[in-house]
Amino acid sequence: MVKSHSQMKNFFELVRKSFYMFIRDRQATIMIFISPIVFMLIIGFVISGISGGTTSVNVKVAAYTSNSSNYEQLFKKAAEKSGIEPIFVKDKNDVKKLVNSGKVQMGISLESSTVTFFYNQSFGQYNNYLKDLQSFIVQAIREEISGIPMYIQIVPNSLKTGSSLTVISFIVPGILAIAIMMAGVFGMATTLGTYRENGSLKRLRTTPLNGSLFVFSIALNRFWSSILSSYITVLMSEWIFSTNYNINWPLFSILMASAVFMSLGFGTAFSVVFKDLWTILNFSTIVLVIMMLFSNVFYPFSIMPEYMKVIARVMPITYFAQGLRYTLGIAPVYLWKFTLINIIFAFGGLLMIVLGGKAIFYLEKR
Amino acid sequence: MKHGKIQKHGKVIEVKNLKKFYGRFEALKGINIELYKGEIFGFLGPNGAGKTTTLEILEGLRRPSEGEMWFLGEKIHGDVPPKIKEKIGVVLQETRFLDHLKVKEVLELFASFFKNSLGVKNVLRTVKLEEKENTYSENLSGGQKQRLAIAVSIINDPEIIFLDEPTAGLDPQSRESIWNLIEELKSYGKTIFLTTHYMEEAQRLCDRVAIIDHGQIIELGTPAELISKYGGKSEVDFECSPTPTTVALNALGENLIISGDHFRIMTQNLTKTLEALVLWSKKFDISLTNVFLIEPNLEDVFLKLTGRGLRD
Repeated sequence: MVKSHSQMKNFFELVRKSFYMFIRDRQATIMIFISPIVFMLIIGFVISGISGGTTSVNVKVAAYTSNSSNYEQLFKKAAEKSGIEPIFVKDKNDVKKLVNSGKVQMGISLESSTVTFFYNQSFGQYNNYLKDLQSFIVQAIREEISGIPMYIQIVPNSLKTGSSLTVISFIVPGILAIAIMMAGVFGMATTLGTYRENGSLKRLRTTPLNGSLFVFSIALNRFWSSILSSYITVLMSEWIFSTNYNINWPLFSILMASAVFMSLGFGTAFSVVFKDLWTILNFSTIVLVIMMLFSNVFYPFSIMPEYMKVIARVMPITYFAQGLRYTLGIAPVYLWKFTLINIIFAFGGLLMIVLGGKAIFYLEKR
Repeated sequence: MKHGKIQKHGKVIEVKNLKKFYGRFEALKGINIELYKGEIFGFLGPNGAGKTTTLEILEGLRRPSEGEMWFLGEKIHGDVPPKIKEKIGVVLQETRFLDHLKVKEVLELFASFFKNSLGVKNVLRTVKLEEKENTYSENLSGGQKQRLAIAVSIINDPEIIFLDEPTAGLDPQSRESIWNLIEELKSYGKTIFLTTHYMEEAQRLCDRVAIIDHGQIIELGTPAELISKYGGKSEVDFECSPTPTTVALNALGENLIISGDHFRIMTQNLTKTLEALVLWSKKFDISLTNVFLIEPNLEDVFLKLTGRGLRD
């Protein structure tokens, strides 16, 4: 008996069978859930062991403005954007005193044409995230005082008021970003590379199946598992390292969804460019190592040398880690920038999956 | 073996002057083929002759560099379109289905790619894999995997089935079972394009065969036509007891070849030669032992046309 057919049936059947294949492939499933946690534990313990970073302290900021009527309001607005609640003092010297005594970790002085940041070198462990915060404040002030030239003088470090911050808190989002990227890129690359090597893709090409639909169905199963894995990893980091994040779960979920699509898109794109499975894996490894070392995964953007900043700016993982820190409540990011990151990740990833799926089928045996 | 000309119902596939270049290398030098409804068409050739390239162009896996193709009366421009793919079934030389799927799930999946489906149960029954429906495809034996490959190729009730060396590497039982299956598909009116290295297979199954070498078809016809044209003489091999006298041997004629205790008669007419041999043995009171009849076959034709030198 000949049965009828529809595109939806085709798609649901593909998703269903991809789910079976994924869930029955125990090694792949375990890798997706376990590898980010193992990765986090190894790097987390190493980093915290070196820096003693699991000790948490409330970081405070003292601020002085020369013209209270104008600048105080101005600075309050800028500070609000970065989540800072500074302690205002009447004298610039009081800022220095508070920093030197260790009562605050950073001081900011906003005068007619200069913003001066004061740091205490003994709080070196906060350098990573406080430097980022400093850049953000400067940018926010510039926005508020458009047209006024700013000369920023920086003494050692940066900061945030009221939050409990540790080195590991800064590192975990980076690890999570790397782990998600690895799972997505390697997951798609190995799946598609294996299908190509064992002749499955060739067999599928002889059918009317749409390549994009096929690759998208694989991506969907990788998608939910990667999202779930990211939740588990964050909760594990909270439990093991007491990271004490102030997590914005809706934004975290949105970022995860778009970033996972992006990583799956890269995995698909690599599979299109390289024919051999081992070449795909080697290339993916090199790209991920470069991303890990030349981005803000382990250290903040602001402390990078200029040449590294150039590289980091083109790395998607830089923005992924930045966005993650924002959703975990440890770094400020403009909402428009966060939105843009998500749009680019989601559409870029989706585009790579759809076009990559077409290309993989098209290029399979010409 | 199939004899005589097949009844030409209607062209299912027509290929004219098909060429394929890989850089400067001309893999196909102008292939012309016509396949008719309900026939099994064998495509034979040594390694590297262009069999798989031709087949993969027809399956839509490769694009020809030049030439024209018609499928079911429709001219193909560029890639084989989905509506034609709906009507073809393919068994590749090596098929590994997606791992971690059971036999019935593989069929369900492939069924979902097509507008038409014969139904998983029906197809499993046809290929005699009903008992294996819940077995993971990677756990099937070689013969079972090949039957699954055929099952997948017919799930969409295709009009044309391409079989690329469907029995390669299988044991005799599995091979026999695949041959029976192919004959069953032919009985349903399917047109089958078969490539094989086994001449026995081609001779048993094919209505017509084309022999390709160095990218061009060097001969095309029914197996019987080709054997009669190129196969040479039949042979009767035997031993005698007691050893025949010179007179008796002379009576067997000029076509006798003696090799120690073995005797061989080359003949164009096997029946007449056998009758004469029996009469000869009675006349000279000689017992015939170890009598073997060797008829020319497609393998002889193949070797004659393509040479006996090794190919890579």
